[in-house]
Amino acid sequence: MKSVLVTGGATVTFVALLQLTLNEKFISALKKNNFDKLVVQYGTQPTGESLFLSLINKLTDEDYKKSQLGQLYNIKLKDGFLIQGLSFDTDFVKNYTSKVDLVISHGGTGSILDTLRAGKKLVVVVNDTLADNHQLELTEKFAEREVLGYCRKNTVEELIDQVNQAESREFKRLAPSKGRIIQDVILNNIIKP
Amino acid sequence: MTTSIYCLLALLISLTLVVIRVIFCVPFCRLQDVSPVLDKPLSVLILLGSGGHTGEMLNILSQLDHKFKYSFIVQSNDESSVLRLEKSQVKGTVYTVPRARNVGDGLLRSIQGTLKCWLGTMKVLVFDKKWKEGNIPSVLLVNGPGSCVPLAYSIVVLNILGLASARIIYMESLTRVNELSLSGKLLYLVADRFVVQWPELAQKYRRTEYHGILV
Repeated sequence: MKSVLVTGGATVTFVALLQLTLNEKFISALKKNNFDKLVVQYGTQPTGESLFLSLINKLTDEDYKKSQLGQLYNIKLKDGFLIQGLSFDTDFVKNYTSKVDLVISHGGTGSILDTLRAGKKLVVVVNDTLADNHQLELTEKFAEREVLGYCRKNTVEELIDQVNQAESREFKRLAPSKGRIIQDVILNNIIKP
Repeated sequence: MTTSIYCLLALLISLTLVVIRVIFCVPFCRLQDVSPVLDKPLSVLILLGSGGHTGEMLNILSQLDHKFKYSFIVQSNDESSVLRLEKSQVKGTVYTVPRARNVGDGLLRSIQGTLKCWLGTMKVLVFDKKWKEGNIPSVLLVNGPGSCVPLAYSIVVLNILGLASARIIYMESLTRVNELSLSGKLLYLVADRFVVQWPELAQKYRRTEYHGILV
């Protein structure tokens, strides 16, 4: 089973990311790339779950209703394509990120680092509704280093294009964290380079 | 006439002494880097600020394996930083100081709050008993929440007055790729070591150093 994970951050719902991924056009592009499972993490805000369900109900004849919070939705489309939905998981990297083949993520620092350190292919859709746009700067910097792909315009066509590219190329690996160097800086064991 | 000459002389001498003292204390003026005294476990003072900064700080601290003695300063409204600290592997004494400002505070309230927060911090730094019992920090480690600026400058003043002798280590956030943050700019001259996480920044700012991504 080949799967893709869409993650929009722990709390705030990234509306555009859900709309870009939970539609027929995008899902058929996933199928062309031999994906048969899409996992969507929509955030702990109640609006996230309602948006997820309204988008799901456009894709299937069955009527999915809100159930108790924190559950995992399992939705099987007619052709067998599986869609899963969850609000958030405290062990997200272990239970989700590490188990998929491709991650489509908002440009949050933690999310980017977790995905790359888990050795997964990553396409970033930057949340341009956020007040500070450090996320875009950071994403561009990572893209320059060829460790991830990202969308500049946030359209379905571009996202599909980025997914196709990510499928056909090998990204560079991100170097492991160098935080331990701070110990030497504190102890004054290394001289400023 | 002679009295005024003596007065002027006394003033000049004291001014010179102050200047010399400042040169010895402020990193930017110093001729060479000073090494910390290593005869007991090194005490490191850390300021935990808001969400992202706390996350990066705890991430970095969890990678250190040297036995440092950590002390944390946390603002009284920042329960999430305390919770994240408790969940992490990092252990140390936590000092709570009054909060600087609430979201939506006006200018006057903000100034009042910031002042209270600073006074609370000073009380901890100078008078706290636990502090006197061997917790006096050799290093202040900060990574950019706004409240680190008054704290760092207070340490500089205490250093000059001889009431403290702490080096200041500043770590810029990973999200800063092309420009230093405002906190970073304000602490650029007074930090002993200034670590950035992108080589572009290290090229642009002479006093900074780059060793790779820290988090």
